[in-house]
Amino acid sequence: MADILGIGISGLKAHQTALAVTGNNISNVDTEGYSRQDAVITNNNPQFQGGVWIGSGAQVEEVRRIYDEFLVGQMQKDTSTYNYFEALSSNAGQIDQLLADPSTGIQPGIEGMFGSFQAAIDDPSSLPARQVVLSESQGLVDRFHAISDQLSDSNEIVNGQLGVYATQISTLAESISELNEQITFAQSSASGNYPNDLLDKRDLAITQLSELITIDVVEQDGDTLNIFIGSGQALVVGNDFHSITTQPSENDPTRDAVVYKQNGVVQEITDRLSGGQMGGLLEYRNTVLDPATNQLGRVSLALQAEINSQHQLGIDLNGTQGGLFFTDVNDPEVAQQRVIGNAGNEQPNDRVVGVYITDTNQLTDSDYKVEFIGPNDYTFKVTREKDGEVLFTSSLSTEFPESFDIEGFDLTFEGGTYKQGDEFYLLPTRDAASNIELDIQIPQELALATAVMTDFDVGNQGQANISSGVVYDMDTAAFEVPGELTPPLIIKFTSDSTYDVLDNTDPANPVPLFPPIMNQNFVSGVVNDLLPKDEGKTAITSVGGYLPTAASFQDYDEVFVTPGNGFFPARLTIEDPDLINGGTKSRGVLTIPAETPANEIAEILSSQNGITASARTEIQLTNFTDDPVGFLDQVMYLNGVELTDALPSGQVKYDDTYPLDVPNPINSDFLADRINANFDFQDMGIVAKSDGSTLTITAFNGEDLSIEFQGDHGDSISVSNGQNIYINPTGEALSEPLNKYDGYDFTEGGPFTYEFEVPGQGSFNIELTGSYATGADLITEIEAQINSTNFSNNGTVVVDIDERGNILFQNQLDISPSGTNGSAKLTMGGQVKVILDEGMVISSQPPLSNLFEEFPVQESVYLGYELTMDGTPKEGDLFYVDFNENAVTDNRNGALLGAVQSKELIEDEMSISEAYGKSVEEVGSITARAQINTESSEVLLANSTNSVSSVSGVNLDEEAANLIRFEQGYNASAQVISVARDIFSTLIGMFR
Amino acid sequence: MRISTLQQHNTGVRQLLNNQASTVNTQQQISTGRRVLTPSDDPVASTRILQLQQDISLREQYMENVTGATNRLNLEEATLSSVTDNIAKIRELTVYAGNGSMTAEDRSYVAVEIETRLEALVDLMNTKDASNTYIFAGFKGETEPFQTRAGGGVSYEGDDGERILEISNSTDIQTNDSGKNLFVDVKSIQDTFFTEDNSRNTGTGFITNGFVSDQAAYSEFYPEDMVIQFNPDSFVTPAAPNYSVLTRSENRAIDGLDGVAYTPGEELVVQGANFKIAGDPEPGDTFIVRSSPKQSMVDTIAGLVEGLRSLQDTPEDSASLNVLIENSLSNLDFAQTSVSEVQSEIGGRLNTLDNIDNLHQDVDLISQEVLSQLQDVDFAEAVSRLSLESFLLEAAQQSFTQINRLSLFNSL
Repeated sequence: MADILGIGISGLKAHQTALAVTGNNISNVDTEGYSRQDAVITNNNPQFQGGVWIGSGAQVEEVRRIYDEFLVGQMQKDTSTYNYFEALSSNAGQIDQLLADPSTGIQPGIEGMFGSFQAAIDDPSSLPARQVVLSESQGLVDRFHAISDQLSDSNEIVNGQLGVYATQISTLAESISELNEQITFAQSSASGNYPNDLLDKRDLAITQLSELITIDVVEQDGDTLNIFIGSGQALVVGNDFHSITTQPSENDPTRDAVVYKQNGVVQEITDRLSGGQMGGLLEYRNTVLDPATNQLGRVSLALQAEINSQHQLGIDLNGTQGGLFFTDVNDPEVAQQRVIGNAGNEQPNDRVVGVYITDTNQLTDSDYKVEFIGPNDYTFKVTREKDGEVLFTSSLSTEFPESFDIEGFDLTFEGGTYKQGDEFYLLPTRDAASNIELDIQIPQELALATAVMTDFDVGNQGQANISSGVVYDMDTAAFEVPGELTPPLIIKFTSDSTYDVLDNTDPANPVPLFPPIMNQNFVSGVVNDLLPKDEGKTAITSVGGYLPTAASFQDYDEVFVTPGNGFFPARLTIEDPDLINGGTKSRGVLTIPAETPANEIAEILSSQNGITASARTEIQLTNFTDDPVGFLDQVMYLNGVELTDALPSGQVKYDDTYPLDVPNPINSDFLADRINANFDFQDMGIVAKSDGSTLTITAFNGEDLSIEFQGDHGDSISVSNGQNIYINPTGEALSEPLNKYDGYDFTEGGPFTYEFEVPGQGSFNIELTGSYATGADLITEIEAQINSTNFSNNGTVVVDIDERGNILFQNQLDISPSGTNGSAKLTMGGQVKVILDEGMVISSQPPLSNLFEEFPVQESVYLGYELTMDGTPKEGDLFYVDFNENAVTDNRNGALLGAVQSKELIEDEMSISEAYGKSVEEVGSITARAQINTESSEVLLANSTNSVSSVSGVNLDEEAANLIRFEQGYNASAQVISVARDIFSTLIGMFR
Repeated sequence: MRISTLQQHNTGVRQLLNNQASTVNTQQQISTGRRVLTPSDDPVASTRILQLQQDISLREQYMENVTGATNRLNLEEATLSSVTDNIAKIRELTVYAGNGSMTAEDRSYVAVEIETRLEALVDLMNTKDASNTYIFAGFKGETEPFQTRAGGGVSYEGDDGERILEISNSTDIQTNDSGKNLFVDVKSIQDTFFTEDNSRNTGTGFITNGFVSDQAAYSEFYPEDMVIQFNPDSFVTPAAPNYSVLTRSENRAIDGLDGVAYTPGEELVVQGANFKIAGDPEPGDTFIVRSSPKQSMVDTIAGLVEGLRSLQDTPEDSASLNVLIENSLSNLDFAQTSVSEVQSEIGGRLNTLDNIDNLHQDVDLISQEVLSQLQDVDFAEAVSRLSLESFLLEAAQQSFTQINRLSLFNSL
């Protein structure tokens, strides 16, 4: 029965519920994630009564939440984007300010340091100015440290923050999974009615999750939401969740990685995550923090390496070579710290690997990865981490250390057992800015001067200027002795356009260098390089001038005898550096026939690529002895030219300085003058010198020198190859220097031991113990001692003691003619100096040759400095090159140090300031972009939040209106009940 | 459109915050005077700013170098003009001494005056700068360049070092001149020589300055150099200190001077060259007599003084005196020329410094202006912006309170 009371009650109840829902809305006006609810009132089913359908009141069918899932989805996405940019820009903004702030940035430090260099260049002897250089440099180092500390602090913060985010994500994942369960349960127990508030809670949790990271939400069975992150890692599946955590990365323990655990498998998913605060933080680490750290490190390495190497090319206030200015970039400990072995590398962890910086211009700001990829234990590949490019694949040989050139640095395997699967992470630049330290401590040690100094002779007639010299390398023989140049040089102009470079060790007697730098051409009007520039080249020297056991004899009526130079044949093996596999590879064997003159050997060698050879021949004649009862005049030929001829006036054999009269016996002065005056010898470059008793003939082109000597039986001369072998004391010093005229008593003190070295034979030792009354006795004893060693020689050992007391000896062969029957002949071969290009090696077979040692010592020929000259010199002009002594006001190296400021040291185009400026700009751009993106994504987020809020948010005015509306409905329903009661009363009253 | 209460509130608050942020930013710009506060404010401009700042600081350094170089060259110029004055005065005295009416005694008085002038000259040649280094010593700034030699005369102990200072990225300026160039490497009218102890000597022997006593004989020998080498005592019998005089080119004994007994301080005359060796040389020590077409200014003047003192009023001495006066006048002129050449070079350098300095000032001004445009705030614009922003902020605050005061509940 349609009953009015029932209808009234149903209305009353429905509106009561509606009022409750409205009240709930009002209460939750500020609740985050709350969606407003709406009581849906429907009319009850009508009843058929009296032929009509009569309604039977109203009821609340459901309380629904006003909700648009697409808008909410959009908002969650926008939340993720906004938080991503916000995290990126706020973190990057800190670095942005740090790098450019005048009180912390590097730039003012660089300016301060180089400014102080300029002041020291202006006044190099001033200790205060030098002290300022040190303190300004320390200031720059402090700035590097400060920024590097901030950057590494920032990394720590990132690590910590990642951990917090991972925990939050896991917690949220857990609550979402729980909510999933509750919602499923609630819904099934409420016959399909939605638990609105639980749904709101879940949506809120998901929104909070998208603040942290970008997620994929997938609906399952209508009421369960599954959540995935990264590249499909399930975070929530139904009622289950998987947590993520952080731990130090396997590659790089200083960087925390995000790991995902599923079924006991731990997986690093750092690189796959994006969006949200966590994504923004990771992006910050990848695109701002790491590049900025590496670029700062690269700037510091470039400065450190360049200043150090330039500083070591100078000399300090005390005249000693400059030391390290900053700490060494390639200190082995530091070099090994640049390599991090993967934590998973197989035990035992005995591998020693280093990264050695070679060229800052080639350095990138990337890290690198080395993987032993198999299929064996020695093949590895190198990947540049920044762009993932594989640089090369190579393999280890068995010899350590083994180096591989990567971009601007050497990867050096120094030892250990390598296994397939090993991984190494290379950080060439990362810690450089925190490792840089000032090494120099004392202002006097600042090397502002350059080690060489030139001077001109006041006797010079020409107008030529010699440069003061530039030093490129102080690790050469020229600078071996501290405070000295070995040897000091003298440059002597032999004509207006040719010059010789001589060894000026004894200014009283300059001698040629070997290989000689003689007869060099000088061109007026241009800048001439005076010295050869051969960095990396090495030189070997042949044993040289072989003395035969006896002279050859020429009988006057016999077949013409032509003695050779006595050189053995040789097979020379020339090896080139193998640029691909390392080591060397042979290019073949050169055969040198027996008795080839030195100039021809030099020619054969010079025809080979990468080899230049020169030769020089020397022969010394002394002890010109005349037969006291002789009747024949002495006659001497040199290379077939008679030197003892008496010529009429008008002769064309000699120039007019020649001595006309031939003395008998002939002497060294006469022969020297004749040789030097001879036109043929002048053309051939054969010159002679006589000091009054010894004649030295030199062929600067290295051709053989043959002498022929005629005279009486009793005439004789001693011949040698001119090579003096010095006998150096190795024992106690003598109380006074030896001389060749007086004896010496060796019985007191001692031991008086001596050592001498013979080319091709090694070194030998002698000891002096006796007492010798005269110089002659002493010399006889030394000669006997030398002969008693197993040193092998032809001729006689002749010992001499020079004016300074040094003992030296020569092998001399006495030759005598055979009277009227003929002459004595001897041919002396020359010494060959071979200059090899970098990395080449030469060896000689068979062993024990008198031409080349089996494995000749290869000496560097690079002097390490350079001289230039311009102007117009005149014949006889002299220039000197020596160590730059007492050069307290020399600023040349200082100027070069100062020039480092503008030198292009990074990527071949940027100075250190420019490179730093570029980093600042890059960080600035990223920050600016992130800020703009933050702003625009904030607007988008505000829009989508507004849209959601617009649909689901509570409006108090609306609720107030609803309150009025439902209150009215409630009141009206109450009136219906009242009417029903009235009707009922009326009816009852009728029966009374 | 439906607006939720929370949304209405949030929108208002966000607007307030935005207005506040831009007001604070403008305020910060005004208080620092800088438009670009961090590189991200304007990455392009901030790169230019960094470059300009580098440029300006480098230029400031160059300007300091210009000042330093100018000071040094001014000192040198002043010193050299005093040197010139002294040379001129000595020249006058020389002409005066050559007057035929002068007696030996008169000349000795002139000699005293010239000698005083010479001492003043040597003092000038040893001038020091503010940082107490010798200005004419080349790189050996702490070594007195002109030192009195044992046995008389003055030798140059500096070197030929030229200090270069960078005064712009393409211009270097030499800030010193070596005493060798100025006062030693001076052309001489006659062939002469310099003497030198071998730096490897171990004994205490030394060679004196020396002079040419027989010009014709020396010119014959010229340009060969001599080496005086000490031999072991036992080289001669009976054993005694002895030496040989050798040619430098061949080490051959000259004139049979081989194993000559050594008497310290004895005057040696070899090929017209007079010099003395004194002290205690060790065997192996050498002394070098280098021929030269040059004569140092001090030697010229000292030789003149010696001649004025020693030459008597005899006919032979008169002839020698005439030659001496004539040669000395020529050599003084050469000395004057040598100094004048450097003086005019210094003038040129000072000109360059002046020009470069002006250029630096101009460019600096322009750079500062550009820098200011890039980095500095336009105060008029910023202040008016600030007032607009604060007005907006105020408006937002007022409208927020007004709107939030409206509610239907007020009417219930």
